[in-house]
Amino acid sequence: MNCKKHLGYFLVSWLAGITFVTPPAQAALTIHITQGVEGAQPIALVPFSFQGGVKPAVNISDVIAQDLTISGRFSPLPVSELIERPDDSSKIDYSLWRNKRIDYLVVGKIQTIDPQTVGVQFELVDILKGNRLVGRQFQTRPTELRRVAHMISDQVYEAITGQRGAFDTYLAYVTITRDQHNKRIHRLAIADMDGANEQVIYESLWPIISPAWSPDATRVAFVVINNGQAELYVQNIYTKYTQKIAAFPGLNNAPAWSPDGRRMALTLSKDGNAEIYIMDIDTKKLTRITNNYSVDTEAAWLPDGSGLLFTSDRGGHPQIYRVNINDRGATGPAQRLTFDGDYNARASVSPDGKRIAMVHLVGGQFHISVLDLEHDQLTVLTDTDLDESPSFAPNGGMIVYETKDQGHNVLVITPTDGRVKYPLNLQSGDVRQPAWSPFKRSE
Amino acid sequence: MLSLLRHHPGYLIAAIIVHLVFLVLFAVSFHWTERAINPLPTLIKIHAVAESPPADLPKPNPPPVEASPPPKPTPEPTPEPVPEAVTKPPVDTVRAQQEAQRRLEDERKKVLLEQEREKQRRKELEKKQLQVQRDEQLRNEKSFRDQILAEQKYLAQEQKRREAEQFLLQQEQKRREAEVIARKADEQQKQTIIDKYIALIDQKVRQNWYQQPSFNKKICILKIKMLPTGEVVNVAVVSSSGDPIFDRSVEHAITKSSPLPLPPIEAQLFDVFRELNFKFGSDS
Repeated sequence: MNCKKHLGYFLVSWLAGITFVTPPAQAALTIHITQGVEGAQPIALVPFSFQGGVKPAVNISDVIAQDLTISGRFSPLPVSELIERPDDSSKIDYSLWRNKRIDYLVVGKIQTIDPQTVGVQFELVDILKGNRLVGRQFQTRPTELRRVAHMISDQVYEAITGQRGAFDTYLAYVTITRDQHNKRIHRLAIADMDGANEQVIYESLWPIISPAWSPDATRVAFVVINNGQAELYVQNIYTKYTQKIAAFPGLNNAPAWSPDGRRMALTLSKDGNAEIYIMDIDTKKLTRITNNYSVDTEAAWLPDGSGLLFTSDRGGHPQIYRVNINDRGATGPAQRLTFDGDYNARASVSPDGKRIAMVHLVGGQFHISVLDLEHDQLTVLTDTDLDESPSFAPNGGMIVYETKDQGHNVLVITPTDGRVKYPLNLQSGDVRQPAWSPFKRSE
Repeated sequence: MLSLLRHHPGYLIAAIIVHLVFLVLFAVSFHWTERAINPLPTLIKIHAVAESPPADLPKPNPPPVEASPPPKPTPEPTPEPVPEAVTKPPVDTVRAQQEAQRRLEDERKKVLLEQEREKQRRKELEKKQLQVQRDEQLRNEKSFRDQILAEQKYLAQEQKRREAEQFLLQQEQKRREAEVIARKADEQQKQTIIDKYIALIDQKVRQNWYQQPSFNKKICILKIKMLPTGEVVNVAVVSSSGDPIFDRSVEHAITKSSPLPLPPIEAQLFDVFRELNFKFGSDS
């Protein structure tokens, strides 16, 4: 017993001696890298394998690849360059993909469970570290496969960038086409953010303007200029129930839902001049926010509901102002936010409230610009003319806007650094006034 | 004049002595002058030498008295004939008287001669002694001069040796300075190479680091190990950013950058790069 104890002491001291004798490591150089690149990261999406039943019309991996491309943060490997097609992480030859300089790989399977149900399984694999980051299974109707693809895109995007994905979202917009009698037909439509699954939710011979989403992404407010009288409607996109909520004399424009969903900011001219009001949706009670001889319009809520941004020409040119509010109205005078250029209008506030996207006149052209409110830094995102109606994606990573292309109005999505532009392939005719939906509430 | 000398031979002797004395004095003073003309090196040096005299210095030996050559005999003055008495004594008596007188005269002459010889001897002895003294002095002078000369020679040699030593020292110092400069230049060159490759590594890794919007105000520190080929064989998170996505992105940046650019093997700088720390991100 005693002997063992001694042996233990001996071993301990011996080991201590070893650690002591080990020469101290030479002070290693430290290389400090403050910033990386904002480039598109290489990722490969292997077409999902399919088992049983009718082959689905949706190619899930293509939808994911397109979503990731639109985000500007990924460059998916072209399908023709895929070096192997595993459908399971256990079948991946990591060295092959490493040699191909691929960072991440998405693999998956689709299985027909019954005619009304398909199972979708996917895995996101970190090729460089050789481990699986995400693995999920879904069960859905075959018609919902496209949405499942967007949901997978969201998970992949979030797992890699740390920012929530905004692919499983909608756009609301207005289309203008001509019928066989060359009469204009105005439609309010919603579609997946990539322009797929378009549904028309309202149709009119009169102009439709200013679509706006409720914070829960279930309702859209919009204005119809019905024979010269502006009427404000709200429609539930699932039930299609439509309700006229305002038709004051004069303007009833630019509705904007409060973050709590109970109120709506809008522009009314019932008192003689375009002013910003806040309306309680249930009681219809109005609170006047601005009181100025000039035009005040296009209200947008700050995410915490503490104030509104709006466009006003009170300084001689349209500029964006901010006003703080409470339940009784404005709590102080409006403050001008934009000073760069003669025209800044139509503010869309980023979900974190730190940036605004707006129409900015520079060099005689209307471009979409982002103003960083914290650093007072303006970035021009577009180089086309007549760019209009910017709207932030709910994750703050992308902006949809309207521009002119070959005489038509089209919608374009760009990441907030403007690095890439993704035109949405919607129907012929003019597509205008996009509004990006908030995140869908999980069912 | 001659009669005067004949009558008073002491004057001649005195004159000779005086001459001799002057001669000696002259000889001695001659050396003094010489000494005065060629002043000797400082006495300090002599003392220093005296403490450790060089082995080859000639030792002054006392001059052997016997060996000295005998002094040349001075011409002996002929004894003066004594004037005869004017009064003539009777023949016998006169003869006897004359005989006695002659004997007396002889005796006197002998004594005189003896005295003269004695004087001469003493003089010679004196002269000899003087000579001996002079020789000894000369010899002393000579040995002293030799000593001084040797001393000077030694000092000159010493001086030369010191100068040579000094020269070598200076050379050595110059060589060392040159070496230091060369080393500095070498170090600078090495630093230049190191800086260059740090920049290259930085550039490569930066281009493989995908920045995400959520990466503000996060910092992650990695420690990596490399092979001499630049291949990264180990990546360890030393200090996490607290965000697994941030940490993963920087690990990716390193992995994708492998092999990292390294100085050529000949530069012998691999030890500097064998282990590297990477700090990703900033506080702002």
